[in-house]
Amino acid sequence: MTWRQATREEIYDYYAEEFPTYVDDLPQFITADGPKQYAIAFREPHPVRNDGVPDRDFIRRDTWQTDASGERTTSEFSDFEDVLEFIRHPARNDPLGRSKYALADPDLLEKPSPRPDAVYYALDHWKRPWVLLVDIDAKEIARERATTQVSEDIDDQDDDAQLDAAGILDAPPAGYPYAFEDIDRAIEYGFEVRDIFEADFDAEETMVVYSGQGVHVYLLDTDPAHRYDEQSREVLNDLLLETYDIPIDPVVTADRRRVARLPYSLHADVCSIVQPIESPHFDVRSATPEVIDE
Amino acid sequence: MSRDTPVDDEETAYRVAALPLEYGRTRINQLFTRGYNRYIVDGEDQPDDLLNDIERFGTAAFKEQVRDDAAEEPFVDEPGTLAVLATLSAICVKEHPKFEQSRPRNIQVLYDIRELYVNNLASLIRTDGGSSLQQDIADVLYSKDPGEDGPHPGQVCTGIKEMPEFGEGLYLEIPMAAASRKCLVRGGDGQSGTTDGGEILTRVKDNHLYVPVGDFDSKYREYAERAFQKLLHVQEAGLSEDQLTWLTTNESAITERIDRFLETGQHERVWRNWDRGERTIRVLQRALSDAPDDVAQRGEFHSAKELYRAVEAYEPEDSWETSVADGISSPSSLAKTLADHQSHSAVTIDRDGRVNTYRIGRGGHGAEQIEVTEIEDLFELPCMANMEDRLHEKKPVRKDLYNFARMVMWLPQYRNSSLDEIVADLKDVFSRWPWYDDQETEYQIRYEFSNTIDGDTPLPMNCDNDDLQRYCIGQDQCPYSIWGSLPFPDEMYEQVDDQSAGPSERF
Repeated sequence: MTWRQATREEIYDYYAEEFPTYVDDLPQFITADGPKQYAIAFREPHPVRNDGVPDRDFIRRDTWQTDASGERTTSEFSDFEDVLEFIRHPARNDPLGRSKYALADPDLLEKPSPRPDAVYYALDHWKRPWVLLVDIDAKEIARERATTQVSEDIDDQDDDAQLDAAGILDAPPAGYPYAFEDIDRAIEYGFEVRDIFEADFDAEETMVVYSGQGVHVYLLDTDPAHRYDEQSREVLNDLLLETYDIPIDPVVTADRRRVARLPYSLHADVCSIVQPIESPHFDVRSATPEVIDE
Repeated sequence: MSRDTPVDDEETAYRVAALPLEYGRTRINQLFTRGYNRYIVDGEDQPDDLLNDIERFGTAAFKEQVRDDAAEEPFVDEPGTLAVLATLSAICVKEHPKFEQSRPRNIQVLYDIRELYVNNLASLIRTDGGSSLQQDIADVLYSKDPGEDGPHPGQVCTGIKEMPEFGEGLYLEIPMAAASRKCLVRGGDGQSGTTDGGEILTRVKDNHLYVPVGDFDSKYREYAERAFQKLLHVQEAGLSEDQLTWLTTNESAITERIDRFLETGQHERVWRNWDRGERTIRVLQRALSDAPDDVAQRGEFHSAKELYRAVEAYEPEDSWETSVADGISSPSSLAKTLADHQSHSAVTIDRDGRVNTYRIGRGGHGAEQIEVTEIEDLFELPCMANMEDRLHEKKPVRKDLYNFARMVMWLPQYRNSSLDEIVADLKDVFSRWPWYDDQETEYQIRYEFSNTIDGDTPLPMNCDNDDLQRYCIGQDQCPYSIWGSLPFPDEMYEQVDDQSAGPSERF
């Protein structure tokens, strides 16, 4: 298995060859015009057309044009194939078209065409209440583990020193700020949250997604009783953190403006396919794409 | 709307008395009419009886025991009468010649009347109001502010129930979709809705929150304080000149009681700001600011002896300060005063060591300090870091810009800078964002700086500001607070002090 950064070529191959085979498996709410935005992160900042504007390493693109009152006018992606084209060649298929804020045409630059280091979709959605997602990150779990393991009299209190002293930086996957056991723990927490959603919050539609370095847990019921707005989500955050003792990232859960990694997109920092999983025993080592040469 | 009015329907009267902020003047005046009707017998007004009851209510309000007892056993047994007696007593107080030049918020006796009213009303609701009234009140108390999806469409409180699985007592049932942080009750000293304090006592079942009913009582008390203000305003507006003259000419007991307090030097019973603890802490804060750093500092733990030395060395500016400083006769008297006021937000007592040590802060939350040498350093605040992220994606809304500019303007290094310097440094920071436009940003920043409130520099936003909530990571998560962590100068906090006594305690 591979636990390293994917190369530009591997990223391209993944989105050209392997990703299309998963498109039919995407959750139903992920369509060409359902999420309000798609977003792409790049490893290297890429110039935009306007000279005075800084290079961009992260872009968000709306799925619809809207008029002054926010009503939808024209969809930017007519089917998912357009989204796919945008992911494969963001600079050539930028929905901003010839706007001066659009990514600069790679043909006019010495820089190569940018490749997505990560692909995201917006939790805010045109056709349903925004998507509820709880983020559990292995980095957080590792950091907490380091804090409890490492004696307080270590002089250097910064994160890396603590992770190093706890042996986490050396544990496989070496060099990452967590160990595989932290990811496994995050996955366990993810299924605990799913159980909480189902048992205490009467949720019927849930999903646990392996995010590459942790999990995303979804509550997807859309009936009025589950239309949790930002304030209800803050309550959910506090309860998960304090009453249920789950180490979630509270900022993500309550913020509808957030973007989440697109299921079946590639987490290029770890060569892992982001994907829905069915069991806490999921082996993260199985998430390496076929296009990656070990 | 129901045809029942507070005049002829007890349930409606309770509803208006309990939730006057939800009703207009007409309904409130009908509640008063109900109260006045009690003083009409066989078609004849009974002014002496009314006056007698007003005096009885007003003078009783000055007794702590009576106010406390009313929380368990109502002092007045009817909502209309209670509203009339409490508001007319308060008007008698406000008309006292001694208070002609005083702001109502400085008059302690008005607070006493309000407390008797609030305690009395709370016990009336508990004994006579019935659970549907409590449910209606809970709907108001726990409703969330409308968010991006508009107000919550359904009922907020769907029941008041026993939940043996969660422990004894009653619980308010609130659907998760209607929940806000107001519904999270905490144990210990923690207040509901705030993020500090003890464990969460609110429970979850079947997609509902279950809030211990004790929280309802304390929330209602806060609400009723504002409710009393509204009743008082409506009563004042409704009295004719003749009625007011009749009231103040004939009433004597309340006036005499106040005179007696003044004659016997019981200032603390008359004046709100005659709070020894508050004044002592204010003097300590000033003394610590004046003291050389190697003697004592604000925000550091010191023994009572060290604090006493700082007070001894302090040269007070005002006469009230002199009297407070003179009153601190020894380290032990200082220690006792601080122990008496340990709940004050500016006081922290450490009892772990051989001797107790005391930290005098600015008030507000304990907060990690941020050293700000350049504007960049503001992004150490998580909310500012979130805003920074956001500004990479979207243009700022006006309040973001305002907040940013204002925060910078209050930083000590910019207090004496020219506007040009501030604008140049701010533009330097803003230029990182994709929407940056040199001229437009310059115009906007200058516009924000030209905005003053009656010539005063507006305060920077604090953590409780609604507009900041978009970026706030939650005050329970955050080791910082804007007003507590940034090195704002004392003059800013003095401006806060001047303003903070305002709306929440205004009559």
